[in-house]
Amino acid sequence: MTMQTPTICGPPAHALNRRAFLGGVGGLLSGMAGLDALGGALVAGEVKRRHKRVILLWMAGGLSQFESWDPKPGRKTGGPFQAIETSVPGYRMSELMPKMAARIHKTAVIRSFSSPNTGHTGPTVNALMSGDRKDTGNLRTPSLGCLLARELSQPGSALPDHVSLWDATWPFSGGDKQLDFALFLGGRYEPINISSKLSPDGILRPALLSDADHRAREALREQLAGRFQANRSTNESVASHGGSYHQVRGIMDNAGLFDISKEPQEIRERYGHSLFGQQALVARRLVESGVPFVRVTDGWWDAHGENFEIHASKVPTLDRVMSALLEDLEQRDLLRDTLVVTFAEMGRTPQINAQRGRDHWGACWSVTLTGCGIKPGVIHGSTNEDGTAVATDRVTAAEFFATIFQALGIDHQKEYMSLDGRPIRLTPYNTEPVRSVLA
Amino acid sequence: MPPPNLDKVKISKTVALPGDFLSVVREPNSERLWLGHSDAKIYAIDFAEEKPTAAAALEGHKSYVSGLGLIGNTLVSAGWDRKLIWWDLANRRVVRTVDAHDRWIRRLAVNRAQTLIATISDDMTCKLWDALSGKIIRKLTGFEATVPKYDNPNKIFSCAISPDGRHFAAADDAAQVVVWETETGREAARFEAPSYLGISQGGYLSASRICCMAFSPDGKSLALAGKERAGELFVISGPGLVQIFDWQTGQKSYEQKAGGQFESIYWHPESAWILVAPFANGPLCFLDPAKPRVLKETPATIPTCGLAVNEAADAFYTVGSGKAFKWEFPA
Repeated sequence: MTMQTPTICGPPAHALNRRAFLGGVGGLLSGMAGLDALGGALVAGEVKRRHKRVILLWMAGGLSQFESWDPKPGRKTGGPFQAIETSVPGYRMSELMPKMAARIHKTAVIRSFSSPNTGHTGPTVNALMSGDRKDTGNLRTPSLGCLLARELSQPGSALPDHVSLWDATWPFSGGDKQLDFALFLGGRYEPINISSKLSPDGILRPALLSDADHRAREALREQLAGRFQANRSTNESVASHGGSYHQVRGIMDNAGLFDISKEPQEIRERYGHSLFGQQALVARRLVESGVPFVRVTDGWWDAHGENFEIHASKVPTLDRVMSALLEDLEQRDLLRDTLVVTFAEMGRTPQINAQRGRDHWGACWSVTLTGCGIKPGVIHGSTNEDGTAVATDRVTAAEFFATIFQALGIDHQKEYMSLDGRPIRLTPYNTEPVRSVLA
Repeated sequence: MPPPNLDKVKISKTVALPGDFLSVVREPNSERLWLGHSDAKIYAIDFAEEKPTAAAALEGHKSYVSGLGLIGNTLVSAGWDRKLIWWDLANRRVVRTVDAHDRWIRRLAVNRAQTLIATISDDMTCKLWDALSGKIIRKLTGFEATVPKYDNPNKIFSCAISPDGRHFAAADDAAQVVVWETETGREAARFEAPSYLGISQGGYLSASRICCMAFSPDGKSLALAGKERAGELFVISGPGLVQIFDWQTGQKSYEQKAGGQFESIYWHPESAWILVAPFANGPLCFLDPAKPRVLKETPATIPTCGLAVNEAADAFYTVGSGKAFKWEFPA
């Protein structure tokens, strides 16, 4: 089933052009004091005309589609929660998400996502994050986040291209590596991981090191790196390595980006006091300043026991944070150039186990897309009455990723070359995006 | 009659049904149980029968039936559909339905005189109801809407009415225990049981809690049972914890740990033992109320959601995931 409303959101573009004042990306990045002092919305209006970006809300462990986007009240698989009316006629969501239900006409929901993956880590998760690709041997595809960071990065930008904010629940050693891997794209597009806090460690210059000394060291490193790179100009990995050092300085110059105390109290209250909410606010500040890809992780949704207690506690926070983020982006006129995605390793089983839990499930679950390039109010696909199978319009990870690329204006069939010279497309050959959700 | 030999405790009869039995009440001087189920129906089981079965008897709720109480020949049920329903058991018909709360009703308690019904809900209120008329007597508040310092919605998981009916106690997800006077609604006591506070490092999960409570026979002490604060993740396997407090002073006098998250508790009327039953993996435990020690433990075999004990305390019933059991202490 595909439902939609004709409404398209977004206020008019800001009339004031501040490009000359800011002097390009470098000017913009010369200090976050500028962003705050000049007025975030005005600067945001300028940034949005330059490039597009993505915030991925990662539901670590696997959000239950039944307790969120695709409830089945009254069915044996449905659990105890009721469904409520939404702003899209005919579409009902879990009662745990009243705020998103009221603004779902600005989001596209895919209820028929399907993937073979049912694990938190390992090869099938690697495959999922590169579009459920059956990679073999050395021919591996970078993950979605790294590809988007690469595609959306801005030449000369001193800010990181990929920031990943985690909470403490990702329980696996190196779990972040399971989801983000740049491979031949190079280290520049690997995430800066920020776990259980709001800013990276070590972004302030040590007191014993003067700014002049720090810059001198950077100049020496650049000189040596330039010599090394001279005969390797086509190697993305080498270029990316140098870019990473360049960005370190950029982050140090812009440490204020991670300081949400600079936000008005009303905005901070809207996001709430959870770590997820505060990290989402950091994410907004990052994309507003030009960081192209930010992941914000909310966990731990892996509700093998007491699924309904976990979701009763956590979904309202997701509802609050997601609606606050979308509203904030919209009010700053950033949503038209920012794509907000909800995604996870998997969904949760229709069957309710003996400990009132739901287990891992890949066959049919829900994802959402909001903002840049997305037709608002589309409810794409459906599951059967008990949520045990896709009923209409199955969407694979490859198709979902193709949709994301297309929404951002990126040709999803674009080819890269692996280190050994073999072509790799952004999505597998013949993959089609989900056109019904594209604006 | 000699007290039952705890070492002999065993399951004597079993009834199976897919889904979860979430609540149970026993008709006095009988082996007839009424059970609230996750399929929103109320079932009847008569364990006096040679081969008892669960028969769907009452349909009216739209979600989990989380609490049951008996007022004479009237059954009162509470559900996650926010409703209280009074049922005439003789005629199997609805006497009245009340939209009782704004959120899910977690539990229901009835005083011994069968004049008062208490309910607790995720709307963070406790309500006292006239058992016969169904009129609300008073609404009791005093818990925060969210778990303090964090955004998690707060919840009230457990409640109990004192043996003399004069006090009503409830505990929330932040491990606050509040006791009110039922006659006046005055808050009589408040204390914290921090061992049950399960806020994780990020403030996003509540992994531990007070799941159930029972007053001592003299009404002076309050036993709390549930799950002790554990690791970072929402895990449901133990450690189970029972603590007893002098509720008027908030002083803890007793602590016993055991496997499993205790979901149900029964305090023997002569304080011979306290029986706790686990929802998670773990045994049924008979505890010595006089000093912290386990008198007897035996596999619960299922995640247990409810417990009922007969008048002589020589037989009891556990209900939960897919099954209902009768337990006895054969000589």
